[in-house]
Amino acid sequence: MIEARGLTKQYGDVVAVEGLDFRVLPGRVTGFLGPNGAGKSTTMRMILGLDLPTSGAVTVNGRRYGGLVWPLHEVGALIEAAAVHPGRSAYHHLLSLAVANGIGRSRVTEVIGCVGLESVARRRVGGFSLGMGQRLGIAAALLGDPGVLLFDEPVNGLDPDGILWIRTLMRSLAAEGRTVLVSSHLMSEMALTADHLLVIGQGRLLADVSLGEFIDAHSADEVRVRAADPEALGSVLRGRGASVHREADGTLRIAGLNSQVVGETAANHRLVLHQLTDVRASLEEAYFRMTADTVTYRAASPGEARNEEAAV
Amino acid sequence: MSAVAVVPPRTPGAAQRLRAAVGSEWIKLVSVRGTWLSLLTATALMLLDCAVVCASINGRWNTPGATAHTGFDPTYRSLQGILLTQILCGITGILVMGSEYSSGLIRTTLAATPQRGLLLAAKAVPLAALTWVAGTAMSFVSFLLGQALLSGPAPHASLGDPGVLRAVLGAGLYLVLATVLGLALAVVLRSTAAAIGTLFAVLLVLPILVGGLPHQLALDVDRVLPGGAGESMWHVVGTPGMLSPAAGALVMAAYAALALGAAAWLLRRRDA
Repeated sequence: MIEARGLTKQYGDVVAVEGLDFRVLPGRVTGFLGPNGAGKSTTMRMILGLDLPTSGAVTVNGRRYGGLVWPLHEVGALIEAAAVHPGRSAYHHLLSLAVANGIGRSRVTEVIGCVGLESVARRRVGGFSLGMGQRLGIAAALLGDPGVLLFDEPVNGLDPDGILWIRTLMRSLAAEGRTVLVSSHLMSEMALTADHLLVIGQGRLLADVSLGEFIDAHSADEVRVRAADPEALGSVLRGRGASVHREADGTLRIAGLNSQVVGETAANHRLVLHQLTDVRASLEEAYFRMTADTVTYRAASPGEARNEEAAV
Repeated sequence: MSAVAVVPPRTPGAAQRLRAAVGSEWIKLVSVRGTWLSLLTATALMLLDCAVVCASINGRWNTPGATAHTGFDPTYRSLQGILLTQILCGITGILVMGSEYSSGLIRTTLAATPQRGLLLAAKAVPLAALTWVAGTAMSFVSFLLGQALLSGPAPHASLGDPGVLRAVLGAGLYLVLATVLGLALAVVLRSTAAAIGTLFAVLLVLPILVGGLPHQLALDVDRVLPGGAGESMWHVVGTPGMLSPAAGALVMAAYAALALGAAAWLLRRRDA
């Protein structure tokens, strides 16, 4: 378990993280969400004892990271891609970490197999692709068979197979009862992987809820309707208090009424429907709704910024 | 998840913790080309310098005024390549830490060994051991090569002569201290380029600048600079104003210790 109490980090006058209180519990994947500059990486670095908090504290299994004698047995972390010497082989990189924590050579071979790097383990890391580097980082995180795992943007640079692999890996690590904290800016990925969310904006904790609750709380569900006479249907639905948006192809997007009410209303007025669909907000939409006010580095036009971030 | 049992060592004594960290850093030191390349270059420069200097002295020994015959120190002459080699040894030390900062590896390293003071010691020990073996070996080879080239008409020394063995061993130790100084500079400056620049400035440029001072003052200052003090370690016949070998070694060791202390203090204090 990871626990933060009043965790605060200032760099000069800039407050990177302010008064964070949270617990990351075992047995589930906790997603760490927030816009660039929100303080995700700073928080991860403080968990690992790399940066010292200005005030407050964060502990892993009840102890400060710096107080862990053999930390790799308790915490595994993928903090950034390619944090390796380009001239060293993958095998020697992992071996050096293993020896530092009293982990045997056989385990090094085992994690290399686990991430599928057997064929390149003796090659210098400098020639690795982004995806291979990411797999190496994950191998390092798994080395000590730790109960707590931190992954900062783990799917960066991975191909679809690799993404599926790490998604399955994270879910199975959590299913084994481990504590898994993963940050990602890929909402669709987070929606598929995380059970629980920590949402952070401008250094403050905005939400600490389950994925489902988060979407429910921050979504505006819609009903999409295609009708023979969209004009008539639209005015009838407006009369029942719905907000109706008509798209260029004649499709109506209706908020404020559920699909059952929309269908019954159409039937009562003898209006023909071609399509009636519930549209549930995605995590991405819920997220943008919530963090709309807290994006530190916003592009000139909010609309553009949104498209840009949605595209990544 | 793991077929191999992964259990932490049971007695977390400080000695065992240090041994694990030293083992880890030894693997890192010897598994990159940079280490071997800089030591190989150091050896090549030392022997090349020795060959050129000693052959030239020997060839011109009887030419009037070519080399001062009084106070001629054949041991020192054969080891003179240290002036260049010390930089390469320092770079070997710089690369150990500079590469950690340039690649971001330092964060992985500190996550595996969060005991920062212990980590610095664990980096210094294998590095010092390796450069001690390499530095001592190149000093002996250089000495033997130099004496062979000085076989006549110029006088040559042998290891049995008073102070000669001490000077050759001192040369190896001096190179260890230069290496440790490099390691410490890289920690303090967190940059390979800045550390190499500073090493050049301290070991090569500073003595030249001091040489521009009035004569007596220049001598007084130079003998307590790292290079000037350390030079006494590999001289058999001291030059005027030079510290005794023991005192010079102490001064040079104090510089290295001071730099390492500053590095440890900063490493423990700063965010990684």
